[in-house]
Amino acid sequence: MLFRFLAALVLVTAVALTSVAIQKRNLALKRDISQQQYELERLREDEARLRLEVQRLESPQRLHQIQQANRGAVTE
Amino acid sequence: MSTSHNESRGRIRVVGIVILLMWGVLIARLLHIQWWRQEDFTSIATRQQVSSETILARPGDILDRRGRLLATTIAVPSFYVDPAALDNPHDFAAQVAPALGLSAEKLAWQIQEASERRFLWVKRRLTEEERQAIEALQLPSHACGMKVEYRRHYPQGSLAAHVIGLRDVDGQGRGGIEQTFSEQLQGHDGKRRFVRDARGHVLDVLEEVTEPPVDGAEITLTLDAVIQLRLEQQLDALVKQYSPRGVCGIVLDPQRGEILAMGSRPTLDPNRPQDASEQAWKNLCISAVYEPGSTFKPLVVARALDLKTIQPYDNLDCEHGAYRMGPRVLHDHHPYGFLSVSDVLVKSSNIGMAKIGESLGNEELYRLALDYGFGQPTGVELPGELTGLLRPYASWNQYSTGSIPMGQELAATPLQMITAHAVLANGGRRITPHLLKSAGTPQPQHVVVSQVVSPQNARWIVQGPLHDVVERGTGTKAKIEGIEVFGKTGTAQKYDTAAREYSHSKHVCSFICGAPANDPQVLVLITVDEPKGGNAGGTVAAPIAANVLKESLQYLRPHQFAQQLNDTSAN
Repeated sequence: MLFRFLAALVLVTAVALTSVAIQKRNLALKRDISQQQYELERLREDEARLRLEVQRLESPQRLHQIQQANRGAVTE
Repeated sequence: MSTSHNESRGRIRVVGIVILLMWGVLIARLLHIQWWRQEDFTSIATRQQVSSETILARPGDILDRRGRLLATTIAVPSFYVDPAALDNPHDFAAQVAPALGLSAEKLAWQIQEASERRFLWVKRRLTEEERQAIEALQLPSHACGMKVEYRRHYPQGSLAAHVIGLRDVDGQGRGGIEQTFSEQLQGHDGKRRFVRDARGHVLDVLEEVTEPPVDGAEITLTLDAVIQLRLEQQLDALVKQYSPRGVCGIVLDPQRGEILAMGSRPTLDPNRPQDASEQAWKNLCISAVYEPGSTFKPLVVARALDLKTIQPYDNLDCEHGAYRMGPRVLHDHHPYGFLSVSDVLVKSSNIGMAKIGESLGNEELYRLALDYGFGQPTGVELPGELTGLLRPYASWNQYSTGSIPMGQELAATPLQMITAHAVLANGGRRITPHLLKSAGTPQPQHVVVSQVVSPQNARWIVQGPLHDVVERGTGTKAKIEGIEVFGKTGTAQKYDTAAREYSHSKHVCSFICGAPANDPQVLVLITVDEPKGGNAGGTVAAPIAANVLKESLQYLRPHQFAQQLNDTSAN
């Protein structure tokens, strides 16, 4: 009787512990996904900023001004 | 003994019944809460625990035809305050205002005015320095905070400002492509729901009910930033030299109807719209309406040739400079005798054109104006396009027969004029001018509306008279060595509404040219409103248009045209 009771207790405890472990794993995965989404958003923002800076630096207007300045310097 | 025993048993029974009743009430209440009102309480609990947050959709970029960025979006913080949570608005304003460059008195007044509200923007779209200054103040988080918003940037500055337009502080498109494609560029915001505890800490993000944001579409235009820059530099040079009331220019691919560049002066920098003058908001290419003058003449000649009311080898008597049409006497700038059809265009003879107008008649003149697209919008993807002015046929009279062929009595936008000339340049097809190359999905490259002129006559006009206009006519200043240029000058007197006659001092000068004449690739129109120190399209607009044309061809076909130009300069 005692053996059966203990076996049942162990079984219930094992099921509970497994469920806790699964829930923890689930939460950890959700955290990872949120972290990755945040990282993705941050990288996209960085990409947008860098792209803007690159485009500003290589804009035809700016390149033309540099070209004109260089031409002026050579002439002098 | 037995009596007291019975009494105690009775009491126990009563107590038992009372306890049972209490349990019964509790069970009934439990069932009421858990069963009957389950949904109500669940929704109340959800409202208290679950809150949602908007995930902003990133507005789409605008690119030129070669992928250069014309408009993009960057996330920046905006600073807000909860006025109801502030004990002393004056202290708060005194702390915050210097960091944000605001007036402390005005800010304190604004907070006091909104004292019953729970949200008030203090300043939107902070700079990095402002954000750092606010963070250094370590303000109470329950009374104020930062929210991320998107800020539009235009890395090319004022380049193509009228075409691109801008997005206002609320993300709404104002003018240009930003307004026309506001919905596609905007995208759709998403929603993130999460569970909070009693202290407001996030416990869980409910992924299964999150609506992902749909970012705005990336829009690619037919514009080319390099050609646009060349055009705008030439427009600036023109403004410097002639101080006109307004000036605009368009570069068009006549075969596909693609607008390669479109510029207008005065202009604005969409990064600093607060500095723009009132006139600078106007895109003259689509919102200025002028009488076209002589640039209209080739369109009439092409129709007359199609209807065979004249032949290319005909000679027209230009009456030595004076011709009576009913009660009116028409004059030419120079007296001419007989002129060939080609020379009527080359010399821009008004009398020759009036005679061609007589051969067509008012009905056909009206029909040709409609066929070329006058009096109706071209359909370009820009807001605020005007239709020009084409009076109803019923109000035309014998004056119209002489006036319409020389480009008077009707008015058109510069875009309508270049679109009409594209018909001649591309072999007679009327094509919708457009700016959109793609908006996420490929767009049709061009829309052929109708065949307006026969290909032979269109080719004859371009390679014959219009080429001669540049070689030996009114447009010789547009000659480019090594390239077969065709073009037509236009010098229209402006109508003086006060004097009720055409002004002798106010003109609109224009020049439309294209090249190469045997296979036109580029068409350029320059329109100058009231230039000072010059009043002829051939002297004011033609050299500028030729410069734009030359630089566009060198850029678009470097191997073909750079070689030709080099050969010429070597000779």
